[in-house]
Amino acid sequence: MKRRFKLAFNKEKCKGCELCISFCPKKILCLDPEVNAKGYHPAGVSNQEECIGCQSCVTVCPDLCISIYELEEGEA
Amino acid sequence: MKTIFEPTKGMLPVDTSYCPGCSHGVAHRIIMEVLEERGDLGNTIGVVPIGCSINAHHFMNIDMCESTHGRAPAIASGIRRVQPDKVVFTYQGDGDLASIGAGEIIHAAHRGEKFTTFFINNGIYGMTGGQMAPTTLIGQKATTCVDGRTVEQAGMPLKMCEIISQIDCAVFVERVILNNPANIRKAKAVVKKALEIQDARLGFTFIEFLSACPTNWGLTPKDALHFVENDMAAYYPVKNFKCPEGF
Amino acid sequence: MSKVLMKGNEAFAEAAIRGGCKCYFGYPITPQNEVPEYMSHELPKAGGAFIQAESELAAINMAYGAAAAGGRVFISTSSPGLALMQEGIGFICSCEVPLVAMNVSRGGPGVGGIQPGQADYFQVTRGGYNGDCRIPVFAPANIQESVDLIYECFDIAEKYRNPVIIFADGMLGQMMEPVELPPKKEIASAEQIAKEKPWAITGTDHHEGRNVVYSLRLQPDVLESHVNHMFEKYAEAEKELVRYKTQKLDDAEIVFVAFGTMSRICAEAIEILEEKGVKAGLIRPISLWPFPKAAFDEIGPKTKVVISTELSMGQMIEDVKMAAAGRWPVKLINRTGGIVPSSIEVAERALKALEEVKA
Repeated sequence: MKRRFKLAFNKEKCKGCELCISFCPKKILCLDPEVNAKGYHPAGVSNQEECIGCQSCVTVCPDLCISIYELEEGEA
Repeated sequence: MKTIFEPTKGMLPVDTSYCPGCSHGVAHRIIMEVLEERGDLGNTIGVVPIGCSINAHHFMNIDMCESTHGRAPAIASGIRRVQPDKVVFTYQGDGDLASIGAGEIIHAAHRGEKFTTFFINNGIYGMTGGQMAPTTLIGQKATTCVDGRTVEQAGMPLKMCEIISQIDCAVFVERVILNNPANIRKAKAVVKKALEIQDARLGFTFIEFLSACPTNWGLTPKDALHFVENDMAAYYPVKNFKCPEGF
Repeated sequence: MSKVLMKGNEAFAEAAIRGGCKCYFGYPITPQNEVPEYMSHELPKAGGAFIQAESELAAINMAYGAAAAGGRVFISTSSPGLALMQEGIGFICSCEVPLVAMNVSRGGPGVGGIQPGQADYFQVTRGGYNGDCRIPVFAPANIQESVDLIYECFDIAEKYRNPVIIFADGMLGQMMEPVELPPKKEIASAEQIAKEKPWAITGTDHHEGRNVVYSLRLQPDVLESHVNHMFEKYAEAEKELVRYKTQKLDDAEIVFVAFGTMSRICAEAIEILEEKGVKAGLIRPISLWPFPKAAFDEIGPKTKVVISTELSMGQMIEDVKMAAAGRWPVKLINRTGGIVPSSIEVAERALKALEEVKA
């Protein structure tokens, strides 16, 4: 059974530095076209299913914008 | 749903004042994660410097005090005398520690003060707008050396780990680099080790973090990390300089 | 209680220990070296901590750290050393941390000399720090008074959460006098610190919420309201901390104003003048800030001249003129550079000043 992960982004905290995007080995992160209240394009995930839970994004994020959860079996 | 990663309780849920891609956020986080994992958030006293990270006390969820410019090691020495059982650290930038505070850091090490100094070396004065620091690399541009630092004008960049490690009572000295996930994890392990050595009251413990200042370097956050990796690490070797036996 | 014969500097240190001092930080500078020397061997025995700092800059900042962590802290230095500490003193005012600092002063400017001086009057009352703050300053005239003031000033510093300076000229540090020492107070335990100083940085496990001791206030309205808060404390200090002594003001033709060693010389000069048939009196400010303006209201109707008598080129005279408020001519009798005038010299110059104003 393939492990499934959910990334939660705090879009208002994000400063759009793109480091999470640079270091994602699966290249599934991208900037939102919308801007947040600070005026930055915040990071988000384009392809959640591909996430392998490696934590590279949370490790390089200077602003603690990202949380990672592992979905249980049957959980959406 | 199982939590794999959530922000540490050691960081307050507020926005930091740092620029996009600044390494302060990463350094703050790994230090606070280690303190949380040790169960020491309520038992720690930190001293913040003058510089961008004077604001750290708005973000770190522990008791803290501000410092006059460069004097954090003297202040932590005073704190240690009154609070012998606490975890005590200073968090200092390179203008603060290697320039105006060079005397205080040398003598805190010289006395073998039982606290830990986290030294954020990004080779520039951040808060005041990008002036040359003692740690600015040769050829690196800053607002007080617009054509790049030269040896003739400003000498060679100061290597603080190399200096501190010559002092007998500095027992743990290591330079780490915050350029990618693997090295950030290694840096966190080094923070953990330094605090364990502080627990043992063996002497002064010192970690230098090679860090990025994208804004004042005029680079994107990603390119700034390449500069840390390729240029800074070439001059400032990333390694352990000194570690007590058994750690 | 019996008296003991002690050198000033050693008595100052012992008074601090008896006042419950937890930490002393100092850097060698003449003429106060016996203070750190005494502290180095006596304070650890009493359960306190001593560090010989690498500089006065470090000493004042160690003091700030220890006091922010809740400890009772005493420091001492002499004039150029105090100049180095000024940044820290202003910072500590801003952070609202208590501290007792002693200046055993010498002649200046610059490195100057090592003989007694009072040319730090501006430095202690006006400061060399930046920004708006005030320091209560007490100038003892003998060793007993020094001891009593140091002992008491820990409480004053803690009440106002502000540094307090004891300003003793080098003569007081170097002389010996019999002194009655006060009883020893215990050094506050970690539990007492947490209870009595709920603002101190002791770790969040030990108090409600999170404590941060800080000075930086980037918002002008926030900074202004903080400075206003500090000046509310200073307004109270101006009412509560005024101290002075007077002598023979009722029928004096000449009124000396003098503090510290100079006040003792003036007291002798008053006797010499009396033998010559001239009545003189003395106002001795003990608090230099707040300056005892009220003392001048006690001056009698016969006074022709007020003389500020100082070991400097005339610094206190500015406060004396403000306090005199034009009611009497104000003259200066002074020596500087480390020279202490004799009582005969002071009496002669006072007579001359009296003649000048009568003419």
